[in-house]
Amino acid sequence: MTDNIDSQETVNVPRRREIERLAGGLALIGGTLLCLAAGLVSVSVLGRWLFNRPVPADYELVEVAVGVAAFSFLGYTQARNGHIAVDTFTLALPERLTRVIDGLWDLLLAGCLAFFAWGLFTGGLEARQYGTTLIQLPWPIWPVYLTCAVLAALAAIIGLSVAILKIGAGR
Amino acid sequence: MSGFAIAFIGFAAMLFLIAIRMPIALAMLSVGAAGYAYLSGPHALIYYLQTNTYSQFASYTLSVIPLFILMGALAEQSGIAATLFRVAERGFGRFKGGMPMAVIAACTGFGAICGSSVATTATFGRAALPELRRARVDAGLGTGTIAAGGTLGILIPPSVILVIYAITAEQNIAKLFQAALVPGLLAAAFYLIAIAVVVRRKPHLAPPVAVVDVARTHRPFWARPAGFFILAAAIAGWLFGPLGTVGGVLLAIFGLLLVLADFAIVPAAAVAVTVVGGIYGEVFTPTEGAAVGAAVTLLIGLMQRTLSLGALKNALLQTAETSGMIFLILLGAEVFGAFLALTQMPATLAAMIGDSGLPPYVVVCGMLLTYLVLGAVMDELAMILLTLPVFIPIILTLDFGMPTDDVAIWFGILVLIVVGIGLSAPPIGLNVFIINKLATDVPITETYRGVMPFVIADLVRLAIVTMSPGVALALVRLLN
Repeated sequence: MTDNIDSQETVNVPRRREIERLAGGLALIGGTLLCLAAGLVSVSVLGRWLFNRPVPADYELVEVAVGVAAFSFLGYTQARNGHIAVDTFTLALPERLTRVIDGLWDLLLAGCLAFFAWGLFTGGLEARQYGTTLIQLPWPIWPVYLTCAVLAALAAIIGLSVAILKIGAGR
Repeated sequence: MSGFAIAFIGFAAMLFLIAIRMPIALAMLSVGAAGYAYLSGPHALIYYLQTNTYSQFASYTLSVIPLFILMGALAEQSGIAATLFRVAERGFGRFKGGMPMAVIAACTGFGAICGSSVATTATFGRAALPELRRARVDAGLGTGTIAAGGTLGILIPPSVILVIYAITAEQNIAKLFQAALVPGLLAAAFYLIAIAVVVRRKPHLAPPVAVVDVARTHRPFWARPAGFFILAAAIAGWLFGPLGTVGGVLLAIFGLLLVLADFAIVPAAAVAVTVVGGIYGEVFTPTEGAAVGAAVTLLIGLMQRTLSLGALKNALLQTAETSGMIFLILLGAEVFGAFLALTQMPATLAAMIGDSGLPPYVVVCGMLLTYLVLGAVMDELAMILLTLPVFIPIILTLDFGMPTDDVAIWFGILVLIVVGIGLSAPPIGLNVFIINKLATDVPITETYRGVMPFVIADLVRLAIVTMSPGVALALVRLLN
């Protein structure tokens, strides 16, 4: 595992600020999507109440919006160290060591995200082959899978950079 | 190896990983995945995880969580908390201990818009702490009050923790919100009493504010007549039928708000009443309620110009960070839960406890004690996600002389109370940490000292709700 990190580090050490900007940009896209979903549901509720005509399949659109938004949030949460961890039992360890440990966990999480990206990518290709659609709407589902795959891959890259930064600073 | 032993090893491995700083979501995810692969093969795991990440996140039930977080973040950024506090200050300021009491009152109101204790604590740390200082409230009492008041964010519905409980235990979110109302208001009342007791013994801790130099917000000329009209319509509508009880009460509250309340809090209060009331009356689903709440809060903020573009950006980023954290931990809990289900440990354990003849109340008290201990050393959200897959089957097999749904709802409220205690009690209380970061000159021991009266009030409330489930269930039965 350490060899891997070394080779990564010699390539180009990413800058903290640029990573945060990328992560923040993705998060804002997801946040906007969430606002749009909230607006859509409000219009649907209003339409149902006033004219007895809700927006058709609104709940499925909300699901897609929230699903995509969730993937766009993951990188930002990791870049902000937002995933909760317990530090009660490691307070005695030197700070440099805990940084390296945290970096390793970030690396593992980035690996998981990369795996998710791969799963969604292959799943998307299969869905395209079989012509799978959303449940109520007749739209194919593969573009959604691929969007999420891209977002998960970007989150993995962000996670990798966060890990390298931490381990690098721990030395 | 028996399923029981495998599950035990899984739990031990996970606790070890958590102890060496692995993020809790990742610990659940990796141990769950490893166990799943061990029990049903790596191919099954890959197939299970391939696109399940998306289907987990893209769930209508789950979407209520980011929407409530968004609503709270928007409310936080548009300065509603400061307005609420100003109004509460005018009401309570002249009493002994009035300033801390105003914090509790304002937190209660904010809790009806915001479903997160972290957000509530941080908001009031910023909005109320300087004011408490100016009024020469004792530092520890001030920070302690805000740490305890912050828990009202989850104790008063809407509540993100309660939604997570509902999803994990497969219970009705609306009913849990109904059940939480009376215990939540009881919490606020007990906190006020706790403050009154403290300042009666040591009046110098929070002197009354002599002159409250805040002017009432101007009430437009139409507000009072409109309020009376709505009130009359509510009573007529309730008496002659077309509105029903929930609708009548909601409309009456709107009317009273326009007639009596300070006009500054009317928009926020209207949002809170619409969202919570609408969910109670099943006018809309919890997800729709959260969406409408977020959209209306955004609209009000933009129209009143209290929400700048920068503040909106902050609200979105805040929502992203918290939602990302919760979504990943829910995914981890799902994978870990799938592994646990494969070992059949929860079902076996539930059967064992059911056969053991232990009195049901002893079992519940044991679980609550476990929560109090766990809550002292780990994060509350992770705590309930780790334990519920095991505890819920047990709770549902015990006989309390109530329908099982009622038991699950009552237990949810008990869990909510212990989570609240865990958030503010020593040695590890998230709310205390947050306030400690904001008030760097107050030693954390002072805050813990200040928070103790509230923890005692919470323990009393826990005992009351444990012994008489009716406190939580009465409103549920009334509304259904």
